[in-house]
Amino acid sequence: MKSIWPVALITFKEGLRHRVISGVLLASMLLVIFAVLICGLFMRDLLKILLDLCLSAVSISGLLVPLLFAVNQLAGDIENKTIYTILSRPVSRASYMVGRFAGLGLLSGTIIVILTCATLLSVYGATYIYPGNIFTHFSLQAILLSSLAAFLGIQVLTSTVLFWCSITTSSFIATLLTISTYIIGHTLEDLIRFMQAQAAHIKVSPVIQYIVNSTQYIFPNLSAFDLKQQAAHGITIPGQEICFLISYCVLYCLIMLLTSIFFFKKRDL
Amino acid sequence: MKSSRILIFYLLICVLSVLCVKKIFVLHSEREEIAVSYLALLPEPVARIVAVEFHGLLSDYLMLNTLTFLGDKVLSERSVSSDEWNMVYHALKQAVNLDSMATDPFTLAETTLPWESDLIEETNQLLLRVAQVQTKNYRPYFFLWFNYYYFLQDYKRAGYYLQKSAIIPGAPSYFSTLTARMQLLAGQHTEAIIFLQEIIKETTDTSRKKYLLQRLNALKIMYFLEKNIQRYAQRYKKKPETLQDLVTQGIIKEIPKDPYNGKFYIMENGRVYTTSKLVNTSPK
Repeated sequence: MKSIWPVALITFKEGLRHRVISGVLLASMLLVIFAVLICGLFMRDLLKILLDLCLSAVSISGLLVPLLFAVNQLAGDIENKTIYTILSRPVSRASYMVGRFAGLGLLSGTIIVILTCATLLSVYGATYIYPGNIFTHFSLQAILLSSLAAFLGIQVLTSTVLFWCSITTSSFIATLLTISTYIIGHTLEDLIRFMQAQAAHIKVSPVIQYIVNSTQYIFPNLSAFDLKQQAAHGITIPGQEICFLISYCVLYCLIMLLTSIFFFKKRDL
Repeated sequence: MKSSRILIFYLLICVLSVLCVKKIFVLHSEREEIAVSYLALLPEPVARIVAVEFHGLLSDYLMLNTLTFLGDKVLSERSVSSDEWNMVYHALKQAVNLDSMATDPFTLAETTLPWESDLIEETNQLLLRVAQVQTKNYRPYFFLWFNYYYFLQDYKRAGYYLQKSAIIPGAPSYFSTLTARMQLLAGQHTEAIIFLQEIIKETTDTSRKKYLLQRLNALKIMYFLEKNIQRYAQRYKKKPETLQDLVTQGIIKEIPKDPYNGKFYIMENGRVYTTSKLVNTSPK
């Protein structure tokens, strides 16, 4: 367990060395200016547009960690044989996986905190430019919950990156599988609702219905962590839903971590 | 010497790039095709899948796309064809599909589609869809009232929607008295003036405001002329045959100009309307 923290710290420092944070800071500065200016082109949903842009940037920047950096790190360790250097020290394979996961979480968390601050700064700046009655739906709680949910969603996706990297040998395949997981995770709930709504009009094979319904328990329901629209309209999410989201995130990440560790231990490096 | 050549070459390609951008912009402006995004025509479930987690962002993009398209038409005083209005309707419908809590798409639909195209029923369907989601917003029912009252002359249904709008917290207090006035003033322009003033009050975009103010001015003139027709009828016990009669008898000094470049006239039912039909028809 003691070896988890050094691995996490190395992962985080590698993220900093990749200039991820400085890139994000630059992007956030541009975002603050761009979002404030562009929302003025709309009629009355100024705050909604501003938050749509800023919170989407929070999600996109956070997504860079699992989609680009995490795959690059994990699959790269195996491809470039740098994993031998780490495992030659008193670091177990399980500690390596958990450490990498914690480091990636720390990195994505830092990015999300920076961009959430940039979001609040842009709202603050916009109140000086546009009439005050436009911002009546502003809810700080909703924005913070949306960022928290984005962070949780990214942790879930990162856990799937760990899984894909533990069973594949190429970073390209791992990236493809992660992107597929991301798309499936965000569309599955809509697909199931659509199938349920259309069931009366279109005959869907029970086998297909069963497969689609089962898929939602295997792939992560990432759309559940998308609270951007609610935040943009100032709708606060009930505490119960947040509790379930946190529980779901913790449970799914644990399952994925344990599965990844199982396959990674069996793997012939 | 070598570095100065490179600098000149660099500046040259920069200038050429700027020229290309300008030329492409001009070519796109001249192109006679519908500029509203084809994302609007995607089936609704497909659009939601394409948007992944960025439903709000895609909805904003469609809205911005539609606003710039219409803004360009308004500023250049070019008319919008029925196909283009159809595309605008689909874009706004898709924007509502992607973010049903947004207010801009249905407000834009209401202030354009029933006035300038035949898409009144479609607009009403859009408004009903929004009203079911935005239960705390009085505007969708308010807009439905207006469409049934002003465009469809279905006063029974108009009254039903006005009542639904009036009971929502935040609705202006005069809504409750409007129901009674509706019967009295059936068919007058006052309701349209109230309606537009309500929307203009909350519009910040300058090109939209200009567009709405132009319509408000025209309606105020029509209301002014109808009032004076009533004065003429009371004084001479008959209705004037033309608006010129009002000027001849000294009731008004002159016939006001139509902001849409048309000419006001008295219809068979005694109401005032304009040859422009409240639409900018003059080509650039």
